[in-house]
Amino acid sequence: MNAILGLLGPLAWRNLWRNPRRTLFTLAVVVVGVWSILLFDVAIKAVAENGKQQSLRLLTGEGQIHAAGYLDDPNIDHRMPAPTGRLGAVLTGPAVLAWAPRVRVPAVIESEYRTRAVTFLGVAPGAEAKVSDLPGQILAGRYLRAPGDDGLVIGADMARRLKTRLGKRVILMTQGADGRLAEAGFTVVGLFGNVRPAQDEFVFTGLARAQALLGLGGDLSEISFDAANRRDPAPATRALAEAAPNLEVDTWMSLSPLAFTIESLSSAYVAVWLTIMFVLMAIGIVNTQLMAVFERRREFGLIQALGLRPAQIVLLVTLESGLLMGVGVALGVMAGYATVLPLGGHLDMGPFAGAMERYGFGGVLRPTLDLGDAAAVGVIVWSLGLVAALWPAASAARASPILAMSEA
Amino acid sequence: MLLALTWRNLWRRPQRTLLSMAAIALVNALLVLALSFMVGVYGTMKETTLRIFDGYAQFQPDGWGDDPSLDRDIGQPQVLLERARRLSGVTTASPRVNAFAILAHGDRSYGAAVVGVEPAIEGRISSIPGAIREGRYLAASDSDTAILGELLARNLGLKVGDRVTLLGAGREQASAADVLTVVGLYRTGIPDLDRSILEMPLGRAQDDFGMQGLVTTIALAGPSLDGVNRQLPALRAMALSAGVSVLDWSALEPGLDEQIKLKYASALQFYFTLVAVVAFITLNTLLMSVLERTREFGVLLALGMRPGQIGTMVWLELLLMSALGCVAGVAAGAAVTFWLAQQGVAIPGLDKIAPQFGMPSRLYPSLTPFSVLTAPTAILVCMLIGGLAPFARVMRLKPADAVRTAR
Repeated sequence: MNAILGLLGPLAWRNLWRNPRRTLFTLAVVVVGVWSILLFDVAIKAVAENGKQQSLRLLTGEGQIHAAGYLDDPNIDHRMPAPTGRLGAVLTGPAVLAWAPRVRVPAVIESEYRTRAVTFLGVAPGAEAKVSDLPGQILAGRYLRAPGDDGLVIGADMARRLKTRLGKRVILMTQGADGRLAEAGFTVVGLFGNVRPAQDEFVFTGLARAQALLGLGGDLSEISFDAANRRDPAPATRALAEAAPNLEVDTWMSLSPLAFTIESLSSAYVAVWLTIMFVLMAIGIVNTQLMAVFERRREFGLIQALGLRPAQIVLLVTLESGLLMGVGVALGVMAGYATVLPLGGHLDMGPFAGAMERYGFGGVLRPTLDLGDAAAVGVIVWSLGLVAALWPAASAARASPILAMSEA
Repeated sequence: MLLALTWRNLWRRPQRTLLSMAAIALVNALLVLALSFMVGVYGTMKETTLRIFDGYAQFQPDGWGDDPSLDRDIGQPQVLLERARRLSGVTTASPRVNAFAILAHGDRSYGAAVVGVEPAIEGRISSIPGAIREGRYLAASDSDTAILGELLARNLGLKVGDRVTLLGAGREQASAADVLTVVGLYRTGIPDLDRSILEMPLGRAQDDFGMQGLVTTIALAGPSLDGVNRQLPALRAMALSAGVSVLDWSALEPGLDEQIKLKYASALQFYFTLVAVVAFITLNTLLMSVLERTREFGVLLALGMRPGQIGTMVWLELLLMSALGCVAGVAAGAAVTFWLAQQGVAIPGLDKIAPQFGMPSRLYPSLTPFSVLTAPTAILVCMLIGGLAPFARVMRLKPADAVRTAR
């Protein structure tokens, strides 16, 4: 077998380049196919990842802890004590990368001119910056500096709607822990510029300030956390749930079902696309290879007359296909990298940025071509291409030596 | 004669022709199905979202969108209402007062949108009256009643029969206060809506907020969104003479409009990649066959056929093959789509998130000229243009060289 391979291998390689034009036709199908599959994969994943990150890095985090019943009715009555003991140990332990404590209650904000319903959050700025991108999205003024900070950070669009601006005072009204209406004046110290719905919904002050206003003592509404293992937040979630049996611990999959559905749908979409693309590529490969084999009938007849058996001809043509697919896949992957790398993982969506933001996406995509994906696509296309090429190979083996050589 | 020759050429290598046709047919069938789904799903999504509360178009005071203040109003609503209802395609016009107030019950208070409506008309424009889960909707004879979203009621600790206190600012910042009896709770399945709206009788709202005889918006609807859209020029003229604005559906739900446009843009981009790939594969095959047939063309040239005729013949081969593939693919795609349109398609997991986007949990594709004709048109145009390459190749042939070309 090795001897035959040793003989047929170089023969196959030389056959490929004896008539380069013929080879290039099939090569083109493989290169274009692999290239477009990879680009599609990159685009789909970038969009899905973008949507997920936008949604998770707003406030959700990879998981959250609440008092039982809070998610159903986000009310001051559903609160929990600051984490101590076992829960505190797990949160500061190796399973959790970062966590942020929050007070989060519905409230009404009033400027001199306008009144609006909002979600009022008390946050610890240092911890918050680790789980959320929002502290870095300040358009004017500053973010909060410490848990005791008594300034208020609101969305830039909210400021426009309230007809207020930096340095002005606004009134916040909400229900305190004792059930009475709690009311206080705040100075607007910063305007943030996240997506429009977020700008219109959330207002932030220091955690201690919010706790004092609501009469909460050290109690919290919510803890947002990122697991140390980004690919699988389940172990961290399990450890937290065991440490705090009376609280509700949820992952982003259940907190943000839209982001999760988009992520799972996009993998299905990629799989369907890959299948269709492969069927098309297989048709292209079979078609051009059949033609190539047909052109070479005389040659196959001749080598049969010289003593090569039909099975060996199948092997020869399959070897040729294997080499050809190999070169094509390699060039296709290189073309993929050549297209994605110059973007530097940064693609500005320009005209669509506004729409994407409203839909919960950032205006910038971060396309990256995963080496594992490229390798997987390459191997799949190569092996399936080899299978497709068995048809032309079989047809080559059927060439009758006498008939073939008698043809002009 | 040329056509007969073309036809016979196609079937000289039936394998090759059928494979290329299969690729074209596959892409056509897939695209007809995919586009029909987009048209169907987004069409339903638009209409259900708008029917919840907005209506298909609205009259609003100028500048209302940026600054919804009760100091802006529609002066003589009766005139506009009657003129709008006389348009064909617009069957309902519902006057509203849209205000904001703090709702209180016991020791709980929440901010919410308070909307004064004509109970008898509202049901023909909005799906909220039909989404009452407990109690009843407002009746024409009601005065001090209210209905509100289930989540809002739960947050306020309200049940049907309870009294809710309303505190807000009316026209010219005068304070507005009232106590209403809750007669019904609605659930649309959209959490944001279910925790943000209270509806009350129009007359009472006008009294409470100092808006006697005035309204802030008039919502319009008809049997179909397209029907209302066709009347937009007439509605604009009416609005102009009344000194107000008319907003079409995309202005009422700009997020939805942009989201649908974005979806179309990105999906079409993917679909055209598919078209480009299939065109490339077909042309690649054809070009290879043209090179293979150099000798044959040489003979034809020697027999007196002009290069242009041979080029046209090759071009016709491509077009004929593409057209057959398109017809087969579109027929197959349309048949599957038609069948699915009768059944509806359930997507696992969708039933949980569908209501948030105003979508039904079963998807129904919709066969329209757009969804049927886009794919074959795109493919044929690609072939028409791409076919110039083999054509040009044939035109360069010299009979003597061509005949001499070895096989």
